[in-house]
Amino acid sequence: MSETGKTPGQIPAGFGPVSSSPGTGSVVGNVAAAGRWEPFRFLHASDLLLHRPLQGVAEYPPSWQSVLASATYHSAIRFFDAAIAERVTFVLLSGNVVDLDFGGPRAIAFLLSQFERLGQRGIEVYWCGGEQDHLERWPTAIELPPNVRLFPSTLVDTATVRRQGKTLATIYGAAFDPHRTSVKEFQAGANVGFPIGLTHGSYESQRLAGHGIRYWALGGKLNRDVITQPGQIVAYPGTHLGRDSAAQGPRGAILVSVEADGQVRTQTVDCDSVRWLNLSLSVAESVHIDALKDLLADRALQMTSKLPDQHLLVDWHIATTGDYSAEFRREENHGKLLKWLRHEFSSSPGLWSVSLTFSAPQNLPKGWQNEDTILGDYLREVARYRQDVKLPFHLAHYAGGQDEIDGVTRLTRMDATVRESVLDAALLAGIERLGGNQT
Amino acid sequence: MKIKGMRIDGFGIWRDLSIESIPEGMTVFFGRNEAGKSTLMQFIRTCFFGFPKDRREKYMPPVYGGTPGGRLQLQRIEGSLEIQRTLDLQRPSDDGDVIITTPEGSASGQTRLRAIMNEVDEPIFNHVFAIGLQEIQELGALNDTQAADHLYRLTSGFDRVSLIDVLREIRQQREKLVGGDWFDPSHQLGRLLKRRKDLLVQIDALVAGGRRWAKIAAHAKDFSRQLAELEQQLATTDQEARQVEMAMQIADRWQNRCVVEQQIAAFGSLPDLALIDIARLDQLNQEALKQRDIVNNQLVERKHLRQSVGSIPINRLLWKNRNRIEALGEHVPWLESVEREIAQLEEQRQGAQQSLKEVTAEIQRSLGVGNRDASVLTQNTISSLHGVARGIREDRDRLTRAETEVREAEIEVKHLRDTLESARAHAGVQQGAPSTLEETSRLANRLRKRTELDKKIESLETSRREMQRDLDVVVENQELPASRLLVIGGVALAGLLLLLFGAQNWLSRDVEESIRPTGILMFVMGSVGLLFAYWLKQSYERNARDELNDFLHQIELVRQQLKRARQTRDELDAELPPGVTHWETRLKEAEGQIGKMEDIIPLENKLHASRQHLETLKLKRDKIDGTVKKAQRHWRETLKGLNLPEKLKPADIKDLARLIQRLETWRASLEESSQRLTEKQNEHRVFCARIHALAEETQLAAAENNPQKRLAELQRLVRSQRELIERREKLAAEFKKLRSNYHTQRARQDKLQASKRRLLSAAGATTEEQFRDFAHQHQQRGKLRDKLEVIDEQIRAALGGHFQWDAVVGLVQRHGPAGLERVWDKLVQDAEGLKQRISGLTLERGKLLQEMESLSSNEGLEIARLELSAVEQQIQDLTRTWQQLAVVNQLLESIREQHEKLRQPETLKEASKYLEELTDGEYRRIWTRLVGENLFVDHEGGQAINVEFLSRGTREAVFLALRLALVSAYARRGITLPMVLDDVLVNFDEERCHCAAEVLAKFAKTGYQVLMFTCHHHIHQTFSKHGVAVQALPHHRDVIKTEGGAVVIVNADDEWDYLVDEPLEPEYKDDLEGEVAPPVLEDLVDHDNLKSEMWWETAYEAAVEPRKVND
Repeated sequence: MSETGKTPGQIPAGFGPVSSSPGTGSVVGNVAAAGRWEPFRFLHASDLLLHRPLQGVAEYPPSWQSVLASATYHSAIRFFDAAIAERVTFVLLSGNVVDLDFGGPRAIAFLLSQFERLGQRGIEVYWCGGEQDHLERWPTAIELPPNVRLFPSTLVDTATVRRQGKTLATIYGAAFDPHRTSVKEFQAGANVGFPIGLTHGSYESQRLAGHGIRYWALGGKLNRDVITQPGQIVAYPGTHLGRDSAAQGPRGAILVSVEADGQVRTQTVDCDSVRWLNLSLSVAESVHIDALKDLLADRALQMTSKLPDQHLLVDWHIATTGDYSAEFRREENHGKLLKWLRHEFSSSPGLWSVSLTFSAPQNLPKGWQNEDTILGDYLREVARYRQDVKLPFHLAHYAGGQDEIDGVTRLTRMDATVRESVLDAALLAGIERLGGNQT
Repeated sequence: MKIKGMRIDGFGIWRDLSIESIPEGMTVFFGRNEAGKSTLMQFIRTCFFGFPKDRREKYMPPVYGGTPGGRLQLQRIEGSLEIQRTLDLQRPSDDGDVIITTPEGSASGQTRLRAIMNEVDEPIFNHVFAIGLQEIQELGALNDTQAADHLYRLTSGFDRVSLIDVLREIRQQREKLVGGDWFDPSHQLGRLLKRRKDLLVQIDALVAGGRRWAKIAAHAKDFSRQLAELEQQLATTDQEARQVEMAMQIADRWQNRCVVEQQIAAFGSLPDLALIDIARLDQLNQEALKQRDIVNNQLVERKHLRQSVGSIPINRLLWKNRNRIEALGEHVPWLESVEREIAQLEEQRQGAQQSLKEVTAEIQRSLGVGNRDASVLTQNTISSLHGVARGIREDRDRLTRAETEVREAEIEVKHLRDTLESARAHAGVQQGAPSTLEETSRLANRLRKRTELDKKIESLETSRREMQRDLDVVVENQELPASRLLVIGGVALAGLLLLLFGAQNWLSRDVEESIRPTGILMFVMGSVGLLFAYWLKQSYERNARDELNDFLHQIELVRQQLKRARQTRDELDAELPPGVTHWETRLKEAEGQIGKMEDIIPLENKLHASRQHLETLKLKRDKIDGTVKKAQRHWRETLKGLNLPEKLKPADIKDLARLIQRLETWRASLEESSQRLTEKQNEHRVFCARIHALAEETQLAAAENNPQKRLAELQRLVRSQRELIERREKLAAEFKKLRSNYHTQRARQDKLQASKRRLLSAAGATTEEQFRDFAHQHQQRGKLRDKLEVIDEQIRAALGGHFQWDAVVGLVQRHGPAGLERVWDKLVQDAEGLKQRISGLTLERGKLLQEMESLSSNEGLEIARLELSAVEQQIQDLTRTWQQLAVVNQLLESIREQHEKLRQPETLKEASKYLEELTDGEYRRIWTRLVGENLFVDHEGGQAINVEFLSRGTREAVFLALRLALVSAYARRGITLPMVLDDVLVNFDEERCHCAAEVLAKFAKTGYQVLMFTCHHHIHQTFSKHGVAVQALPHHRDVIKTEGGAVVIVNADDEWDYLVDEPLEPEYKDDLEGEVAPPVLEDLVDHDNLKSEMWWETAYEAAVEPRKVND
């Protein structure tokens, strides 16, 4: 049963939200006593992808350039800060930290400095490679600090975590291997402390049961997913930063607390310095554009006051009710509205409106479809293309670029979803140009 | 639809103006500038389409007061009606309030008005049915190409907007995004692709910086390793130097220590001092003597106790059964309670038997079965009867309700039938007419369609006849006209002559060599002339053939339309009632019938619904009746099945059930009492038998037979036996304790002796004296060791915590005091050399680390990647926008093809007819080619001329012809609205104005209402000559002064002088009226030049020149 972000649990003393950390969230997992262990805590993250930039932002203000460009590093710093603030015993990295061929010097230097910070506070780092961070490509001239332990991809290696001579945990780790189809090599022995499985890849939670592992630290998923099962937790922290509009909401790591009574609690720790939000409003088509402005401003102020230290990237979606309104649907007004939103709320930190989309109107005026005018012909033509999805669009005819065959194909390609949205937009564009706004 | 009259209550400068009896055909409204013509036109539009913001601001509130708004009287095929439009100035409404009223008094609103206007909105009305002076002026202001283009747009999709304009706008927007050459930076895609390429190069360079960083890191690491090694060497050298210095300080003390160690070694080996314990030896000797006395005393006490225990007597058989006797004794109170309970149960059983007899007798009386056994009746039997009885009762109740409902429904049906009869009689619905509204409506629709079809067929017939007539002309044009034949023949003849003459001069041997080149030249020119003549002839013939084919195609189209229209008419005739010939009269009757039936229909529907409801209720009542009878049969069968008398009523079941319940209660009570009595008697008997058996087992003499008394005797004997047993157990415990103490004291005595022996043997002594000698030797050796310890402590203090004992002592032993000084000098020199090398390497490494820091702190790569991501998103957004535009483009192209295929030919054909009349036959046809967006007109001489090369006046004629054709096209689609023209003939000369008046008058006679407004005297005179009604607008102040408003039909000629003398109205200025018409350009085509072959070039130059001068 996946309980991501919805199961409030008992938070032990000294385990609540820490003000100095980037933001400790709710308890997301809780496994009942399955043994007795020494109490300790660790922080689990994956998919930092330091080399990958934010996607889907076509425009941004100059004051935001550095923030957006280095967002992945700023968020990673929040993660390492959280490890120190929470006084964890060790840190688990489940792959896809950085592609060493593309990360550049900054990524390597950054990781070294952060690992050394953790090492100075006695915090161990256990890192298994993912699909993108092939750790054998780590520059041979640069030694990792002694507190960092890497795991190979060819076999399952073990690492024992001790405190004052007592075994706290044993980590069974292996880097990502595309040929690995099962986790049978992960087999926890007896008297090994708290057994942890560390690897990268998506596995069915049922197949992870029965290996004696109490906590599966996995990576490779976009979104956070914590699955609690009898006797074990399977955890995917997701990316530590939302890089595009598909990755909405808070992002970060998972803080795991192993208690002396055998309780294992997981808690989210938000690390993202830039956050994507999808904000929706529902208004009537008849609403005046100034009234819509007020609604948007209220919502934007609400978000910026709720998250005052966060850089927010917002996709606005306006859902409308009622019949088509020419004034409301004027393309020019939409452009002005987006420009206004960007101008009003683009302070740093603040809210940057990436896009502003309107849903298709519920109804067009009665009679348009049947009238014997160019507009009527156009609406009937659009309806014909809607009804028969096999009717082709010969857009290559308009594309030019005869020497760019692949490019023309990309320019004119439309799958079913895109075709539908393009037809929606074409419908409104046609109505505006054919005098629908004059009637 | 036609305007019959209008009344303006208050609109702009007009107040209380009434214009009545406006003719159905054409009317010219004549008035000087600022007379209020445009206000009148705007009033008509306002009545149709309301008060948009600009009109409200311009014409409201009325200058001279009055209620804002007015009325239009309209005449339609279906009848007359009136549109009243008023504006409440206090209410910010765009359209005002509209009321449509018919002569019959029915009123309706906006929806009805839209239906009357055939869903034509104001933009379409302005673009199709209204032609303004402004449009004529705009056409004149365009250059030739733009004007030709403007005219073409009218033919290829034109209502609210021009389809071509929209397509061009979309193409421009699309080409701004993506050009023919994708990498052309003047287009958005080109710019983005270039930026993307630059960024990729930049990113590659920055990623390569990562490899450089790794190399530097390798160097830095190597330097760090060397530094670490050197620092290690330096530290070792320093340490060695300090050790040598320390060895020099302790050398003397070490010599003393060696002497003391030799004295200690002289004692040899002694037993361990810890083993020689003199005090312990003395203590063991004393304890052994004391222990021997204690053991002897305990032996005497044991003998006395054994004799006392043997003297106490015990009965073992009684003691063995003591627990059973005590257990039976605890049950004596229970035995007494059982005996009391047996007596009570006997009494209860007798009472229950008596009550059972009484209830049985009562049931037999109720059933009337005499002494028959009533035990067959049970609670289950009664329950089954009870369910059947309840069903009968409920069914009876439902039947009663259903009968009531049927009676009420019958009364309602009767009432509605009476009401409907009186309503029909009141409406006068005739016998034999269609009985329902639906049938009447269907008939009216068919009649309306039939009437329209007649008109359409007539129109198509006229077109076909005209085209047939034109066909002859086109066929005749297939043969070359004489003038052209003459030209071609002339050219051919000239070429032939030149050829022959040239050949002669070239080939003849008699000719001089100097003339031969001239001959060759003439030969060539002659050949070219012949070929040119041949090409000219072919060109003429091909054009004629193309024209014929186009014409035949158009005729075929008309013929097919005619055929379809006739076929539809025949199908419609078959569906209409036979014998009807006057379709329009019958249509009016049907529509009248609809109006009457609309009021009755709700009553009929209600009556029909009530009848259906009554039938449903009756069916329901019959069904319930059957259910009641079925339930009664089931009751009787159930009684028979239970062997009960059939006379038993469902109402008796309740009493019978109560008696049966009482009978079963008494039966259960009797059975329970008997069962419990038997159980208690058995328990009493078993307990007494157990007491007797126990007494026999103890083998004591029986003094009593009563079980309770016998049991009491046994209990007393057990109590006396328990006292004896307790005394004996106390003595046995004392003996056991004494025995245990004896063994303990004896073991302690043996242990003391063994300890003494172990003490001597551990020290290696065989006697007590030898043991005491070892102790003395140990004391002497201890004193020497204390002295050695003092020396060591002094050496350790000198070493402190920094030096190892072995290392320093080793140095003293190896080198001696003299060798140590030489070693110390060499070590100091080595340390200096190492410090210099470390300093150099540290400097080099710092430079490398600085470069690494510079590379790793640069966020250029991230910024470039972010920008690349933004560019790619922009390309994606651009792709989506481009796709939208391309899709709109394709859809509109498809619509345009349909327009050009289906509507354009008709429009052009119609326009050709009007153009020919407007130009008095000078231009005969407007046509277009399949490819391209050019309009051509055919001159009477047969030349096809691009519209671009026409004079301004002719272009305006083409424009007017196309607009008239557009109106006709709308009429063919069933939309006929009044046409409003605002001084559209200002640029026409007198002759062409005359033609235009004739065309418009004729156009109006074919069923179109045309309202023309003009301020030009000669124009209204021209129209008057063609019998067109001309109405001169009065001065608005005169209208205001007239009581009840003015009815204006004025002879414009009589009124002209009055209008000229009237001063301008200073208070109110109409913008449009203020515009002065541009100077009328002469038709620049020189008619004389038409006869020349290159006439169009002359016309073109003439048309361009004056405009340049004006510019």
